Amino acid sequence: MISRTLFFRLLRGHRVRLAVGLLVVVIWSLLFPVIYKAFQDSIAGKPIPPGAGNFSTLAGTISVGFIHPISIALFGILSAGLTVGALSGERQRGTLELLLSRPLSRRKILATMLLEGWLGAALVSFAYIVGTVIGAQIAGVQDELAFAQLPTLWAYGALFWGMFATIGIAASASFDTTAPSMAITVAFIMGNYILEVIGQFWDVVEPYRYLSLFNHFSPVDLLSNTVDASAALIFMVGTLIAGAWALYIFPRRDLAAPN
Amino acid sequence: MSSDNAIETRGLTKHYGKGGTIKALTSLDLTIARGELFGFLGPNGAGKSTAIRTLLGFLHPTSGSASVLGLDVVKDSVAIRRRIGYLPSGFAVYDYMSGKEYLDHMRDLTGRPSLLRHRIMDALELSDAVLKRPVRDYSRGMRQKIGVVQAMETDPELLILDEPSEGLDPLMQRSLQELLLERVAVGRTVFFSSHLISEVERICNRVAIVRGGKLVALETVATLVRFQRRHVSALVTRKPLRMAGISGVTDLKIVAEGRAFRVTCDAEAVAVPKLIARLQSAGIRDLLVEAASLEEAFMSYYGDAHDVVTDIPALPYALATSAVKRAAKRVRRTPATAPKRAVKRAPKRPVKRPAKRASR
Repeated sequence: MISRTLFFRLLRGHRVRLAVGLLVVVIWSLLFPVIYKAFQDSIAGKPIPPGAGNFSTLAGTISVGFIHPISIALFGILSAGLTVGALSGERQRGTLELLLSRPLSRRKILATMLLEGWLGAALVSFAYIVGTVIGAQIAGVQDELAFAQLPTLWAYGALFWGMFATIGIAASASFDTTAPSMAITVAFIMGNYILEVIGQFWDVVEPYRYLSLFNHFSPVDLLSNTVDASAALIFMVGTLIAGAWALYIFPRRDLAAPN
Repeated sequence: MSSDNAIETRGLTKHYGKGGTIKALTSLDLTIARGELFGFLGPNGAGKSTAIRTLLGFLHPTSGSASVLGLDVVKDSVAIRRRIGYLPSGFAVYDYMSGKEYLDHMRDLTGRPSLLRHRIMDALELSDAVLKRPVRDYSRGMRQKIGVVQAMETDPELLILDEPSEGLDPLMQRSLQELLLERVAVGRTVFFSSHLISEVERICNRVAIVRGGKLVALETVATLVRFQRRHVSALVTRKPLRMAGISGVTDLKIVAEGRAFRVTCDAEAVAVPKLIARLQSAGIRDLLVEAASLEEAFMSYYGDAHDVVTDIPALPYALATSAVKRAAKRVRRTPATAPKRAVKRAPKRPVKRPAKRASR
């Protein structure tokens, strides 16, 4: 199903990005419980755009952090960012031809590269939770943290960003260079995010917020044990569509053709 | 298709673009037996790499069929790649790895042990110390050597090499040729493309010449050369008679040189005995019959009277220069009634002197 040799080579190639990125995510996420504690009284009850979160509860504060633009960038780099240049990057560097000359089916290569993206999504989601737990300990608000809900939050986070990693590999399988695959993936993520954010402030757009994938990812609900299973279904359908496209297009493409 | 053949293609065609407007390869019929050292000749853009990439399953044929080691290139691509070694043209590596890590990685992906790594490293003067260095520090020649090692080290049944001498100095080119001959001697098959004609002439049993995506010649090197014209230059004591009437003799010139006569001409192989007999009757004092080279055979396929010589700038400089000179010469010789041939000149290049490299 996957090539272990290729998988470990991919991880090795991204090890610095992964290590530094995950460390930054841990540090970033531990700030939110601290912020919650420090500014609890002064900002309690005030909705903080964007996203489904607020600073009046620890769950709301963690939720704000989860869908903050900086988090979106970090999560994106460490999930979709790993897959978006996987195939098109190899093609662009000229290394794809030798990779394809090994006894690996194209689907196996694709699955291996996608697995790295999903691993990134799982790790970054885990790193955020680890940071949150450390932050809660530092701020002394661990009693307010719904530990039992953390695995669910992790799973949804991994599924949500794994879906974008799959969209990244689908784009990567469709182009010969990284620029268009990167542009499409980033535009897709940003489009969804902006629709969700603008929809909170602009009545005209508000009815269409449900079209944004970010609208279905609500950490505050997950931490409050009001899990919406339909959200997971939406993310899975998104993953399946992107994955099916990648599996369809990659084996059919003429690769290593003269430019 | 026979499993006795290493490579077999039947009408293999690959067209690109909307409506197949770019005809990269058209109806290629090729049979390469196991144990052959086969040369695939043609300038850049002739369709060599397209043919190779189609054989390896990187490109999907527009029509026709092909088999490698008795396996279909479309259905059994993975099984084929398990048994071959491949060096692409313009070989690229993962820069963050050392040479050794790269070779180990490629070997592990292949799933076969490296039986010949040290033999090849010795032949190409690659040391273990060099392999420990990051690939990004390698010169082009060093990278090419790594490419040769990764293609050959698992002793594959079939080696497919696309321009393997690219970036190698003449000594290393010779070492590589010896390595290839060595593999063929133990029953392996080598299929390699090149635009270095001398290299192909030196080591190949048979050669295919492609032009504009079409196969224009498929012969043994000896046969291709045998049917090429000889250049004859003779010094004779008397003016020879009835020379112009010999069939197969062209470009005849008879010039007085003191009391003797210098006769120069081009002659087909079959015309040479008759030509020499006529010269003998005129009293030969000196005779030079130059054997044709594969380059001349190659150029004869790339310079016929009905084609525009547009491929020339893509050839290596020395070959391009030679091609331009020959084409220009033919234009001068062509009678006014013959169709004119357009000749595109190769761009002038300054002679590059190798810069002194600081030792690392």
